[in-house]
Amino acid sequence: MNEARRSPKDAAYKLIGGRGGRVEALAKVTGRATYADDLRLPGMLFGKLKRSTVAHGTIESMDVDRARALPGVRAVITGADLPVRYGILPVHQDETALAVDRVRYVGEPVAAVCADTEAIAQRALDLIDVSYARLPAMLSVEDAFAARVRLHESPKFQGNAHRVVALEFGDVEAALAGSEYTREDVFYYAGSTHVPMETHATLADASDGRVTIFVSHQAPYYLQQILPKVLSIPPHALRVVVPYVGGGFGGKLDPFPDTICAAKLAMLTGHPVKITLTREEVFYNHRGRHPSLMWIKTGIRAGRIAAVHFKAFLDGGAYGSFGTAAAYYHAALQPTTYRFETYKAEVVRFYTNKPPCGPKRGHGTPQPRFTLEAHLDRIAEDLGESAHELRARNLIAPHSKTVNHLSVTSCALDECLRRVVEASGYAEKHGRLPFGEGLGLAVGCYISGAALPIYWNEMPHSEVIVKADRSGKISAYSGHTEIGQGADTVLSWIVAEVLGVAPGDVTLVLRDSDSVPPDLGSYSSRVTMMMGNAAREAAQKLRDALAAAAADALEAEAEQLAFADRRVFVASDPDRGLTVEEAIARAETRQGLLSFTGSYTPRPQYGDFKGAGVGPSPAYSYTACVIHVHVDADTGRVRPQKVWIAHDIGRCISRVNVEGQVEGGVYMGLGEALMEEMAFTREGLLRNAGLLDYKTPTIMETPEIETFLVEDPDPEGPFGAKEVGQGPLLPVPPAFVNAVYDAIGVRFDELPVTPDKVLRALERGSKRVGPRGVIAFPFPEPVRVEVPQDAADRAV
Amino acid sequence: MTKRVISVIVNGVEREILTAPERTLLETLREDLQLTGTKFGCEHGECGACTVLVDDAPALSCITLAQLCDGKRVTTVEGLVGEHVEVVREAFAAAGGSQCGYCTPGMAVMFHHILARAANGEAIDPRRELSGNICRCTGFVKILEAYERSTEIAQRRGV
Amino acid sequence: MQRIEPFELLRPRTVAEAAQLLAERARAMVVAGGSDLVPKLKRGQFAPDALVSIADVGGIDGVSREGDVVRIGALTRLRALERAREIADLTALREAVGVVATPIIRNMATVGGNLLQDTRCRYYDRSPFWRDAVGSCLKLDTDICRVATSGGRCFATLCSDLAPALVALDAEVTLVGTGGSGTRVVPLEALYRDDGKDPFDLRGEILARVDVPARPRFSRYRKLRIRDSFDFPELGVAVVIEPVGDEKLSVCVAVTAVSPSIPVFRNEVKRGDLHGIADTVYAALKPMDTLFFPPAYRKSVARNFLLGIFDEFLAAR
Repeated sequence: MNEARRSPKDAAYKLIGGRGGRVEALAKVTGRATYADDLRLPGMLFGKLKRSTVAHGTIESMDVDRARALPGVRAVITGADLPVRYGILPVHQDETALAVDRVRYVGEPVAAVCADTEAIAQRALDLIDVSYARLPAMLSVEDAFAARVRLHESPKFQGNAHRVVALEFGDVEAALAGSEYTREDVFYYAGSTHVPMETHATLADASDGRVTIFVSHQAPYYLQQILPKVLSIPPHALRVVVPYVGGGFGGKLDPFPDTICAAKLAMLTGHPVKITLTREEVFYNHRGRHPSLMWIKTGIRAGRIAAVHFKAFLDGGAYGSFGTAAAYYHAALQPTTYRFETYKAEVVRFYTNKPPCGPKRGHGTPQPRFTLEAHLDRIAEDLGESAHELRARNLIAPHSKTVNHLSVTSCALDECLRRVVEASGYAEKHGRLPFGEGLGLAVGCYISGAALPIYWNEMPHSEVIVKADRSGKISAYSGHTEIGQGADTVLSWIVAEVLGVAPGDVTLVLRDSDSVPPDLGSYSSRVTMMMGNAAREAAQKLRDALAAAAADALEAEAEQLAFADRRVFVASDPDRGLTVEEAIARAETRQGLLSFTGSYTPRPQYGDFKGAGVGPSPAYSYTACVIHVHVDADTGRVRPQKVWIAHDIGRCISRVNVEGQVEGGVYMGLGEALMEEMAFTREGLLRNAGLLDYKTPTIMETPEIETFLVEDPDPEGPFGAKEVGQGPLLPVPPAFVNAVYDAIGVRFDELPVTPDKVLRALERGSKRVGPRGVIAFPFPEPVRVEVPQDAADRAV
Repeated sequence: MTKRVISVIVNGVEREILTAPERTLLETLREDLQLTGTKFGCEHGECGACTVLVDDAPALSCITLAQLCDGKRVTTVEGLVGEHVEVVREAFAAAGGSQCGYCTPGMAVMFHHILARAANGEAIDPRRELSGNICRCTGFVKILEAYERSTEIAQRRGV
Repeated sequence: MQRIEPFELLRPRTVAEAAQLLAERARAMVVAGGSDLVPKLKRGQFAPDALVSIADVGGIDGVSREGDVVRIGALTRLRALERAREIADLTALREAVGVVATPIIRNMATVGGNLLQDTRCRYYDRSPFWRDAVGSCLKLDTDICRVATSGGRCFATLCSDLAPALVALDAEVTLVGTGGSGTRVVPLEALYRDDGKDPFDLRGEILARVDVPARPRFSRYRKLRIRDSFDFPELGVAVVIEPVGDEKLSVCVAVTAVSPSIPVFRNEVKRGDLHGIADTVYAALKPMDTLFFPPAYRKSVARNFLLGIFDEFLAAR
């Protein structure tokens, strides 16, 4: 195995795993960190989007003459100006930046203006007259299934089904028939949205013949792929610069109309154009959590999970976005935590007349994980055993294949489970706390980067350049985005660790697509795994070059040299050494410019069937969680008291960052469990498109969180590191409802668990709150796949 | 409507700003004075991202009318000075109180304000004092740790 | 960013001057702290041509004890009221002011502004885009109420935390008008007209002061909301209980977030009948679906809150 990737368990590192602060912390706490709306350029104009007020309709007429005539207005564009269709996934290019002849959700952009001031731009919007011929609007999966009208032409499937997944591994029916015990349950997981603190903003400038966009975005690489086609410019004519991003969580991954329109308006006027969305518009941009109605049936035989049959009905909103991935992810990761002998997953994503759903932290896995973990809690109760024992007995083993052909490598889920059970006293206290107090348990798993890129090719997913020059400067060039996850620090520390220097000695060259190599972006929790590995490889190459030059000068062997404290020296005789600057000068003398590239391309094993491409990853992280809740009898408010959470991180690069991501994931999971929900009127408008009405927890609702980081270094991760950006969210909502059941004996099979639902259940003596059933959607015959020969206990 | 020149001491410097009555302090800071450290998350007073100090008291600049700040002292994140500034910076950086950084300026202003009150002998409940600032990244854990750390540092330095 | 439509800003220095300006300008509105008004200006719910800022008006700020009355200037910031020693024993008021909005908003917001806050409704506190899409409502400028479509009246809800506490504590307000109308002193509850569209009996007057009897009494305020910060009350109950003779109790219950005004329930009961008041109040409340939580839930919680307060009172005595 490549030396650069082997990570001995007992290695001692200077930086890796330590508690130092982020490299950009000072910039952020002093207000000097720059975000997209902070930027301005001379002659800048302000743009705004006109949005559809109907959920579904054809555009009968649009008159922009009065808007164009308003003094101060510089340009007005409509769908006719940007007719090229696009979509984030190649498999459905179903969007245009501005609606061409049909609108499919309230809030869909239909025109854009730019003017000397934002106030004038707003007034111009009011002068645009649009009339719509309304079409029936479908606001639920039931409506979409009844399919009175089709949102998109989709000849393959029935009505408004956008994507259908049907996979079977082994013979589930036979396994259920042979099970001693079976159980089925139905669940509903509400849609929610990302609510990054920073609203979307783009500043576009075409005044020098190229198009430069400064944009708050998670994946400039995909903008680079898609925007030239939409704007009808050659790819090299686009420059994408991403400053600090004030939160993304998946909500800044799509190519958005505001970005495209800012660029187009800049091209038309020759002036820089800024479009910054209001908070209300961010809600309508959405691309968040798919509301999901789910059914699950499990068979247990001899204490083992003999069969799991899972169905899901996703409410996808008006366009595809990342929806195909969400549909496949609904099927892919349940088997990564447990050994299933057979497994069948049937998922349908419907188009509806609402803002499109897309990727939100967890991306299509929180919903099925909620279902599985709440369902298992009931099974444990039925079987008279403890929830953690049932899980512990059925856990996936490290270095094994899942029933759906995913290769699990490192896996410390058993340790995670043990830590939270022990710390919380779950075994002693569950079922024995006073009425109104409860403990709940759940586990989860997430990918450390998707193995396959969105645009299928065999090129690296991350490339990093590390350079050094005779001034003594060491630079690292990377195309990743810093969205709050700590990626800048990961890059800095990995390079600094390898070269024995301090983070402050590494100059980071970032953000600008003109200077940095490709990186696919901040999504699917890929950055530490992929950019980190690429950075390590590049830094190692520089180290090797410095070692060769220093060895020469010191008359030693390169293998005898150590790099630390900005020196290169003989490990057994530290006085015999050079400064790193001297080593750089010698190496540059020997070979010229010191510039090395590292890259990373995932190459996991995975199955050979349609849909096998979603789920594979270089490594999986694991999380276990116990939550203690208290239920107020007078109001029905559920107050989380404490969360114990153990995350199998492989190895922390920055311990503080990793803890912060765990805590943030817990927070976001609690938000979805307690109060977050996109609520629509029957006209398709959002009831809560603002930060007072869309409830996101404040510091007052966030409990004490005790975090355990389990470090069992992964063979593939840089220094053994795996992901942490999304995994920790997954077990939180199911642990929460399991805790509520322990507290008050009511099963909440739907989220969010709001106080009015709780009080009503208590007043009525209800035992369960949740959906009654699912939809009779005729799934096609599934793709039938053999269970892997080396499944379950055998090593990969 | 009618623009008027107002005189505001912004971050210790007297600034004369020609401004209309309907302008908010947030617009004035970010657009007229190019002080972009103060952020905005909602513009309706519903998130705390735009928090500044007006005559030493925290205020939401997005819903503060600029002309009503005539003759007052306004302090933004860029202008935090005094003994507590280094304390806040050090504590925040070390404790990981900032992830995406967008709520951070508002938090930093609040920290500065409550540390000054703590130095005056007031008992502070940091959870309650920070309840008007929303963060979507941290789960508030390390923000509270940053506060604990800043009180320790402040005590050690006698500030 | 969101831009506010232009208006003129007037800055009187006395209450009389402020009242005069209101009388002269038909489309003028008073602004105190601005935390209620300015967001609504951004949403186009109001389009005044002038704002009369009372920030510079003298004599209406501060809390003082004069004899057996606590006097609270209307311009007193909620943060200052929170800290005022004079209200330490007025428990319901102290509890209410401590849960308004957030600490930052309490720095800006005033007592008068909280008592005279615009009534709220989920069909009214919406953006221009919402109104373009589904139309306006009775409270704003049409004749349809979207909550009670055949009602013909506005049910926008008063969501002040201070109001029920002060009403239950028998507060009076001093209102200053122009010229001949002079100064009125009325019980606070008389200020509320129970009309969501025109909620206050203010005859061009400025609310200058609130006076609260200082005598010690048992009082409590409990607030229902989704989060323990930012949120307006979905329901709030204030209770004041005083002994009458040896055997009876005088109980005053005032409720917020259930109607455009503050329903008040006054009873004299024996100790054993105290809990019965909770059922009476429960039966009488008729909240409409104007807020976040369903009306039935808010009623249930009102009863539960009252039962809890009555339990607390009885247990301690």
